[in-house]
Amino acid sequence: MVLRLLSYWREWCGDAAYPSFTQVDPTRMAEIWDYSFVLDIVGHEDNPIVRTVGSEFQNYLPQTVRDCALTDVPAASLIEHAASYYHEILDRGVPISRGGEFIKYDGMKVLYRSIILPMSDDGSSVSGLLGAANCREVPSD
Amino acid sequence: MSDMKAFEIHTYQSGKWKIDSVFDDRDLAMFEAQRMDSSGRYTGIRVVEEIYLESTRETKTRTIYRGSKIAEANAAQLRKSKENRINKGQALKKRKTDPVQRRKTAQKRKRKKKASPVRLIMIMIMITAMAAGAMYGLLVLQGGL
Repeated sequence: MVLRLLSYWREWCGDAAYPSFTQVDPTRMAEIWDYSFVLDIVGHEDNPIVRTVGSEFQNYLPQTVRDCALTDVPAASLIEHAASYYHEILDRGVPISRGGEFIKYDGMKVLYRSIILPMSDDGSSVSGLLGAANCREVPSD
Repeated sequence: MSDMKAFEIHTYQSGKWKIDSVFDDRDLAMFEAQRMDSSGRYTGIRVVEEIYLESTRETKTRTIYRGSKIAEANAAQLRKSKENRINKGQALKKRKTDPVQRRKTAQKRKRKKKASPVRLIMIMIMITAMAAGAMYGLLVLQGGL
């Protein structure tokens, strides 16, 4: 899924450095969109706001996180880990994928793979981040 | 403390290498790079492994994958220079063993030999004599008129 989203991103980019959110058509990529999230960074570079969370992604959260600052999302949740490296994307301006494991708030061990992609309103400066993650729960040791 | 590793996919665009994406997983980066390479959309693809050594606070990088186009270009260049070397060697060998070539080389040497300082002096003497003769001729003509 991470690589599929990356392919979409490259397609949206065309000749621009970054694509715009207006190019994202959730109906065309429903299977990915359900696992994605959007971070608003304009004016919130140090603590982005979660603007959208896909339905499948939400299943791994104990509460809704829409319009929550990243520092306010539930601890030991998928979004906390999947978005934890957002500043690296702002620093480097390139898509970054990370994976790992953590013990979720309910004690389940979660293996995940995530990606965060830089998005832009003007095609040249990053104004938002599109992220996605898929995961698998396994019994913790 | 453990060392940190990152795998960057680089693409060659407009005459320079550009970071396309970054992965923390080698296999995923390699898989994606190979997929991109086979798509034929990119002139060059490579995967650069970046290792941050906690102990020395140094970052070491090395290329762990080069797309087939780069590899092919490198191989072709290598083949070409190898062929050139072989051809050069064979030509030299031929020149040494072939009697016609040897005669030609000897003649060249002979010609080179002729261009000695003595020959030059002789030519200068001849030019001086001719000039003196011409001057004498002019004087005779002047006297006659």
